[in-house]
Amino acid sequence: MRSFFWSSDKGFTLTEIIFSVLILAGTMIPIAAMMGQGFEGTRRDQRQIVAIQLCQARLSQALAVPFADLISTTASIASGGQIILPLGDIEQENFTFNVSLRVVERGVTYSYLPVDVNVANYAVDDPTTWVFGASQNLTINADVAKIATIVVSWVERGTQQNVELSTFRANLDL
Amino acid sequence: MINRITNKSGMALVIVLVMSMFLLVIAVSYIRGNAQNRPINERHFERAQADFLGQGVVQFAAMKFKKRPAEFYYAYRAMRAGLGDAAMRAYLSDDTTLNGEFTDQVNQRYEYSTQMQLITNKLYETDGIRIQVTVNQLSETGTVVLTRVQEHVIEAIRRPL
Repeated sequence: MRSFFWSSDKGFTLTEIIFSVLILAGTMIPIAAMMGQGFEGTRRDQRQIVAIQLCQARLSQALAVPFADLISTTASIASGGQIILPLGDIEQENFTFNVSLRVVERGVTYSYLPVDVNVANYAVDDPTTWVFGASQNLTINADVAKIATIVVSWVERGTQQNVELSTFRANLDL
Repeated sequence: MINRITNKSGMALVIVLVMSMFLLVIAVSYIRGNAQNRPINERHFERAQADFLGQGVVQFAAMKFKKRPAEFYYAYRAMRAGLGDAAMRAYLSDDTTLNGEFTDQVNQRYEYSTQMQLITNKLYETDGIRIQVTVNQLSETGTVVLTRVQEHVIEAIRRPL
């Protein structure tokens, strides 16, 4: 029984099939190439996410390192015989990342208005008697604060990639 | 009409062209989806950077309170008593350590500002200082792209005067 759409005895000619295969191949080659690039892009993004997560984890650990021990280094920081900040080459998800710590000292300047406690009617519990003086600054330059940066680097197709996260550390024991 | 349907010449080309279009649509949608991955990663990084900056500035604020606690109490109580906020502004808004800008490795700009508030609990006779640091990530034109807030409370037991 002949169907409505297939009422002819003629099949596809060899020329038609050859042209069709050529068109299909012509379409598939760039698509396959794009998908290959896409997969590589996905893997690259995945490595970047792993690097950012590694960077976050190490900077959180760096925040717990005693202020005096926080120095620029590529080697792990230990305290009491225990590693508290692992640095150097780290294997994550079948890829090697290099983690290092960069520390730069900085000073702080705090501004405030002092209250003159020597005025005649000064009462500590009565704000209306307080006389504020001119603005003053408290400046501490040394051993007070640091900018800590964790650098995670890896090699991607022969090119070095970096992810850096920074935070401030204050010497609260000062 | 029937002639047009039954004539099969060139049908394979039509089928292949339709299939090619279909494959092309799938490929384009796949590439578009892939292209959106990168901005999400970048935002992830910027959120993390803003949070770490906020945590650092909280430490600076805690240090300022440790070094100059009386000036904070004077400024805060004067403001609460309706005597103006000049002292509070000098303590917080005008402070260049607690308010400023930071530029990261890829030249993304972040601005941060700090607020401090006295929180008291009469029932438990406790005081606390709430430090709130707001970090904004700025675009090249200076508009705010992302805002993150870090909060920390320093607890203290109240001492009688």
